[in-house]
Amino acid sequence: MIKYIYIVGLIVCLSTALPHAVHGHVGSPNVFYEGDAGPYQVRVVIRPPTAIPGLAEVNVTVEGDDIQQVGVLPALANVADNSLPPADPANVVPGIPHLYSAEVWIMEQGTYAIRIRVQGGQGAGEAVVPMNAFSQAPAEMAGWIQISLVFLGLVLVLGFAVIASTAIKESGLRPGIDPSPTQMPRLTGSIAALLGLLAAYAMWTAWEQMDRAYRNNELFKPMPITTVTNLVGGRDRLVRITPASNDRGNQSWPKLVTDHGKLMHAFLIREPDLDVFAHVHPAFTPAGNFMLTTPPLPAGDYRLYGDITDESGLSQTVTDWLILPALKPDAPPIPEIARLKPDLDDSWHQAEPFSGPVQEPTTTANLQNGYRMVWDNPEVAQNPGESALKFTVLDPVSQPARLMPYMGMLGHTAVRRDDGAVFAHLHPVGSISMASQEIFQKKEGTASKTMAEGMDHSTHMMGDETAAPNNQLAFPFAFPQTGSYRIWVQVKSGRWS
Amino acid sequence: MAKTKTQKRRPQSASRASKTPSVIVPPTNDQIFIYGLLLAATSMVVGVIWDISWDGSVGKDSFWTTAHMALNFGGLIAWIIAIRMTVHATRSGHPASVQVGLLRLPFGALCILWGGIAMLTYGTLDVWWSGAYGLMSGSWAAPQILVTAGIAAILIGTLLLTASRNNLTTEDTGEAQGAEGKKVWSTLWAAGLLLTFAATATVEINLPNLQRTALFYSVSCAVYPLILTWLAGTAYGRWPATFTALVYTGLVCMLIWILPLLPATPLIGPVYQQIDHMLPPHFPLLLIVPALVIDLIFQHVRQNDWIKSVLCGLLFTLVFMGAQWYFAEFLLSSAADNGLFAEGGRYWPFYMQVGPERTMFWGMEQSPVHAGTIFGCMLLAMASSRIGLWLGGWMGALQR
Repeated sequence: MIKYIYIVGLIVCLSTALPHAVHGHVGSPNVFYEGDAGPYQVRVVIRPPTAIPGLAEVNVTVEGDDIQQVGVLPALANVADNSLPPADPANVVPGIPHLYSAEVWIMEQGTYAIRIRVQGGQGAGEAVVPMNAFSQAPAEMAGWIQISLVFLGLVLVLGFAVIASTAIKESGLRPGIDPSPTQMPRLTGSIAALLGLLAAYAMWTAWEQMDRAYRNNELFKPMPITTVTNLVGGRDRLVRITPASNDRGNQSWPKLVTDHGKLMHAFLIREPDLDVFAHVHPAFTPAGNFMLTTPPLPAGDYRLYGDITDESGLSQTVTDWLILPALKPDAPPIPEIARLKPDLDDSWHQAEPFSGPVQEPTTTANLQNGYRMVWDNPEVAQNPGESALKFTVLDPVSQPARLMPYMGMLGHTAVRRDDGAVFAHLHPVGSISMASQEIFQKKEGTASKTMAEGMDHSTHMMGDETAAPNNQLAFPFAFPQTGSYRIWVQVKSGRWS
Repeated sequence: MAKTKTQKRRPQSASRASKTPSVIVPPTNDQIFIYGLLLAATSMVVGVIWDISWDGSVGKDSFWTTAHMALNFGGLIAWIIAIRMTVHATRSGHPASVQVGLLRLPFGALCILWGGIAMLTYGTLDVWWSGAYGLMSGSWAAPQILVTAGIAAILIGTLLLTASRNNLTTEDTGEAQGAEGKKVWSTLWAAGLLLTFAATATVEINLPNLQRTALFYSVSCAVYPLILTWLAGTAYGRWPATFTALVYTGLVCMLIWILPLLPATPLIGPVYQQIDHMLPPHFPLLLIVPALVIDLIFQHVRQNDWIKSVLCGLLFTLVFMGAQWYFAEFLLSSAADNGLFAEGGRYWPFYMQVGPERTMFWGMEQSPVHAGTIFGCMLLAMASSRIGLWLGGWMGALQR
């Protein structure tokens, strides 16, 4: 008989890598994908534009020596194929083998399928990578631009005054005649300078108004939600997750699609110590709400991150705070029939509190039942050139662990910066929503061959005991901001008992 | 304060002309610089129109597209010529130039230098702006105002340089207007470029579909009378305003006929209009009609500038509205759907989704034209004409 266990590895690290790369989660807009484009294995990193219209930077690594051409085509959801432009050719990046790069224009906000087209000796192949393109808050203006603008602005105002006073003073004088000293040019110059300053002030005010309107209306805000927690019979904590009314008054969930068989992947992280972590799957009720029976987590303040994908392919992370009350172990048990049963794939973990800036990254995490997880490339936190977090899982006798797919994936990873500015949910195929990818593939009619290995949902909760142990995990990712991070890596192991 | 143009052109200085050298060499002793400036200014205006066409036909552009090169290199060449003029005038202490600090330079060159700095400021701000709010975002936001002011200043500088040369020649030779040696055409050409740029910068409200809105007529009455009376006020020949409008009409028509000969495919998506050649610009406004009327006013009305301004404003509004109101209907009809006019609601940028409204008038509810609008337009056109006349009188007397 096989018994499955869920194990969570915990890693902490300090990223000093410059903001470089990184999806749709929180503070992490960049897209990472690893999978197949027909017969070719591709690794894709997309940096969406920070403002739209703008350029998305697409880097594609294609394994193979007979690659003839790599093309990149951004296809906006709900736009017919006959309205798409030709693919942009990606150019070889000199000095880096197999790396191709393209900059593609993103003209409208929305969800895109970035089509990666590879042409080579084995024919043509295509991978579809979903990307959200939404404007982000404008970056601070660099110091040199501020100084240059103030200087140039002053030159322009002064220049305007000089033009005005000179026009009065001597532009109409016959050459050779000295201008007579009158107050008129000086007065005209002063009025012109005043007008110039007024014009500059009017432009500045209009700019401020535009900036406010932009920040209020143009930036993408994830759907606001409300959570209500009830202690049921002292034994169960029932959390109801409902949409909160937003500016437009919407109060219902969009039409959602399942990702790895779940409508929502929610993460509960206890604040401020980040010591308790749970990956749970709230159930969608006929009343149109998500309901969750929490695992037996310690009481406290928790941050909830819920990953959802809607029919259009848009994936987003909804967030809220919730307070979990303490359970009453003495309370009489609740009859099973009266309970909302937790999802069988829910898992959780409690660790030491996470405090202060990380000095040294943890490179080994002790898992349950004597398993160990080793972080193979901790230097990734310091090196923006790296774009994957790599781990090895060993069993109690230091042999490669036999890992089972956990909800269709060899592993799941959550990355959180200590202050909550960054949260990302990753898989070995990257940071994309698989549900979103499926929607785009169906729309385009791309063969499901492009789905990454291990994504076969039929293997869900199944394990192939005869397969060679696969204990190596790689999650395409790069830290989007410097800071201290905690990383939770979830894998599933099967063992005989 | 009102003076006739003759008084202005024979300026105050005439009475103190004792110091005037007998032969005045123009600030640049090489006519080729003026030709260079005219060429650069033409290149800039063509570049702006071509760039709008490029954005609607190809979409993807860079600093190195032909349209951008035409604009930026035009600006750069104008700037270099202005600097060359400054160096020359400062070194030689040339009398036909103005003093700015330690430098001497022709007044037009001063405007061109200012325009160059405005364009540089635009470039510096736009680096951050495109990354912060998106490419070309914000209608009439700071970068757009700066680049418009920069280009306008370079065009005005070119216009003033040609004018000062013409004025100097007249003064030196003592010959009557239109005499040999004057190159009035250069001033009219430069003015035509300025008029073309004004009509291009306001293209968002100039579409034939919008030519029955109060906004269109208000802006038109505020802008065009200024340029037309400016030229009429200089009295370069009998028909300066008409020639200015003719340059604008001719230049835009040439582009309407030439640009569609160039193949083009949209390279960014979504693509809603199937395009295989460069889009032509819209057919020019019928400014030639009110320009003719303004020239006639200047030929026949001998009263002072205030009366002329009132007349010009009044008649510009009535004639322009009358002509454009009905011409717009023609432009949206199938009769204009041909290579000559390139209208009939056929040509749209690839990124626009336009249905049957392509041949309809837009915005008539939001910005309706009624009696009050016409009255307001007249007031605007009168004020605009008065400023134009001041500028014309001043430019007609420009010496340096």
